[in-house]
Amino acid sequence: MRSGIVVFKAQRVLTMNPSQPFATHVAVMAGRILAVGGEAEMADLGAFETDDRFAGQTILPGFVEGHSHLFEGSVWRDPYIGYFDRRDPDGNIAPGLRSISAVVDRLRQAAQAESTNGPLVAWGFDPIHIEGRGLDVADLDGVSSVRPVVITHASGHIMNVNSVALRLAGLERDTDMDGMVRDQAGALTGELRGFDLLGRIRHTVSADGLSRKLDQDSMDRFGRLARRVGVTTATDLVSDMSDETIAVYQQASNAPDFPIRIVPAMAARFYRIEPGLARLDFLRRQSTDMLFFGLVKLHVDGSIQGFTARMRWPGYHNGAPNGLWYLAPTELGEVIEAYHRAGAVLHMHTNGDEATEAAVDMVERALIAHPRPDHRHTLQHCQMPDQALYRRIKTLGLCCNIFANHVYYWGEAHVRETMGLARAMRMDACGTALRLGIPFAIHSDAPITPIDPLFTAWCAVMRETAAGRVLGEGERISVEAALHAITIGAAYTLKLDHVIGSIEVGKFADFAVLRDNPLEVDPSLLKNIEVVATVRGGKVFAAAA
Amino acid sequence: MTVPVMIIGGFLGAGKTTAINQILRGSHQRIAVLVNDFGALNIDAHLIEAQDGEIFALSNGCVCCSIGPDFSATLGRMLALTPPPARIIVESSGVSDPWRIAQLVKLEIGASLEAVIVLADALDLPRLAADRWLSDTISRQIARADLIALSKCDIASTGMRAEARAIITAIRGDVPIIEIERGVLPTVMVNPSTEPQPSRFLADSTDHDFRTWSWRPDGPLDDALLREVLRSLPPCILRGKGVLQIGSVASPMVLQLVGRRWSLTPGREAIDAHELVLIGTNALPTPGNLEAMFSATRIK
Repeated sequence: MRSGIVVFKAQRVLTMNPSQPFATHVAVMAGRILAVGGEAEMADLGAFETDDRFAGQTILPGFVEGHSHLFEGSVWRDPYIGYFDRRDPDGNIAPGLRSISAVVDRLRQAAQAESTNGPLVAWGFDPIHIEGRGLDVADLDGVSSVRPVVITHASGHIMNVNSVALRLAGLERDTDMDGMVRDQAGALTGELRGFDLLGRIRHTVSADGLSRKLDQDSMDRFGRLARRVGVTTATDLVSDMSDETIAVYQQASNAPDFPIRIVPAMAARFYRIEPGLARLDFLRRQSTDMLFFGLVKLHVDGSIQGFTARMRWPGYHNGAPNGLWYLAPTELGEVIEAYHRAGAVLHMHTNGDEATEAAVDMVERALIAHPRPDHRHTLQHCQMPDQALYRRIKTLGLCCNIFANHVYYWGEAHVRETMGLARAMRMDACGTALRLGIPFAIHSDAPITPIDPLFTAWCAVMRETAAGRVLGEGERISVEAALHAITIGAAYTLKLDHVIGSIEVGKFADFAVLRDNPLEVDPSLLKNIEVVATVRGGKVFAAAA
Repeated sequence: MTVPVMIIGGFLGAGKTTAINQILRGSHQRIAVLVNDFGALNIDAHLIEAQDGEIFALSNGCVCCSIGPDFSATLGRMLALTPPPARIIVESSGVSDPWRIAQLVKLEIGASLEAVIVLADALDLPRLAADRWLSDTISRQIARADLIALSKCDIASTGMRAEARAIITAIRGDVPIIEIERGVLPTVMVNPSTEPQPSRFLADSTDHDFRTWSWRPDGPLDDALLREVLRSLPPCILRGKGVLQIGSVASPMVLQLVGRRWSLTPGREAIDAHELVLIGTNALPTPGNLEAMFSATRIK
């Protein structure tokens, strides 16, 4: 006997199921979708309760963020000093700081709010957009002459620090160390680049290395950020998968009022191959309906804006030397083969086209040696492939998760410094992936950029930089395609498209409820559509918690 | 007193693990070794006396540790060991530029950078140096090394060794190159440099076809002139050690030289016998020439 059926009525249901793209009613039972359609499809279900609070609104499948880091929930412990307005977990707008003096004022305010001699940390600084002079060590000395002040840039690859932090780290004018930015007179500006130098600062300014460990508060903050933007499933794409981390995932996801399903990826670099395979095997057996294991993350290169991505000819536009391999191509081949054979879904961080090519070569070898249908291995970021490389990606059955937000946030910097106009126009080529029939998702890489799938979809549709320039019209995609990418497209890359990503009978009742129908608004307004609520397993979560 | 730190770099397969294993097993001193992968060292379980997380204490007093995600933090833990290690040897990862690690060592209080030795596979170097994906990584490793150890010279033909040398020299003309066999770095290169007596080196340098030269100055040396000579030494000089009186300072200065890197630091105790020892390849200048070079640094 069926019982506890709830039928959600909406103005429109966009199912992302091509065999029945539109509906008005969704019946939910025991957290799963029982029926989709109109009144006719509801008529033979037996007794049900009608929930018509969304009757004037549009229901979509809950959004799937295929490349985020739960660390987004941790960064909000510290003040945000980015250029763009950003919504915090409480829903308040942390205003964008558009000048160096605004940044310094905000830091002063933060310094005064606490009476401690510990380090003052802030995040999200993005000087690329700020005109005029850069941030100098003197600015930060003005914030505090006793506390170390440590500011991380939005890219995560650069820091600015004050004199106290420089002194603690042993960095002086005549220190010979790559990555210490100097002014024309050779004096240190306090800007530091490169992971080893950043690590040195973290380690010397605080005993715990400025650890911002994942805890229940981080999970809670992330959940609140996610529900506000319609996300019902999010990845944690670099996980050490320690017992401690797993316990945090489990505790959060077991709570009945946690609004999202979590898909963490085990970062292969934390393990040697054999123990890594054993860990993966253990993890898979821990999967639940709320917490899915089985992804493995690999890092092949660095970032384009940090000049550490591996680029093919003609290299960096400004002449910077080629970036870094995080894994030698031969090691990459070994790791890919091992996890491929073990049945993992590989998510491979490749920013530069040379890194993508290496990953494609190694996947090809692994597939020839060990054919495996439906592997779903996914190239993450995948910002620079040309047409030929994309054709190989298609042939090998690889998926892409494309960093669409880059066009908006760093498009101008890519034109000016990293790629030049011609190559910047082909970056993050959703249009090419669509034309070639490559399964693809689009992502935020939160906290690198804010988690907000409708914004990410807008980026893929409009390809406007922050300065308003359309960068690569030939790579624009339709609103339909972009909505596909943030729902079933992303679910497919996670090999979860059988349970999430569309509104079909049998799947989890995970929805994003929007004020307006995205297929009816002007595409340029896609990012402005209000998320009213999410539904996760049939449970309604108001967007504003 | 700082702990000398030597970085051993080089691409995958160049023989870093073999070399480090050899150092570890042959050591009579307390050496701390920082490696990427402890498992790869293949240490017999019965040699491991104690394990504390990622730190393994061996029965000969040496300590092994995986570098982990934060090199500076790991190095700090090694420096804090009691008793402190006589020296630290770091294996840098196959794709990294070992000079980046060397720079971090230079920042660490309590540590001093001894040298960056980069291993290059005499058989594989031509292929790697021409590889479209790897040539720049290989160049970066060689460009800032203090000394290159050309490995697998026991199986590489004369022609192959010459080809590998030519590649190295094209990247960096003045870097000393030694040829090693079966993965063994010469004792004199990796011996703890805390031995006070330079002449001790002479005994250690017999395991290779090295030339040695020793000199006892008959008076104090001029600081600026000595540094000038040290800067202009030819690349055939591989290792040097001296206890020297410089200027009018009564206590001696200790010279340590590994490949292109040298340091002059105040000696701990007064040693009467002032002495300089140099070890080089068979291209070492004649004793007469060396004596002329160094005699010119004496305070007149």
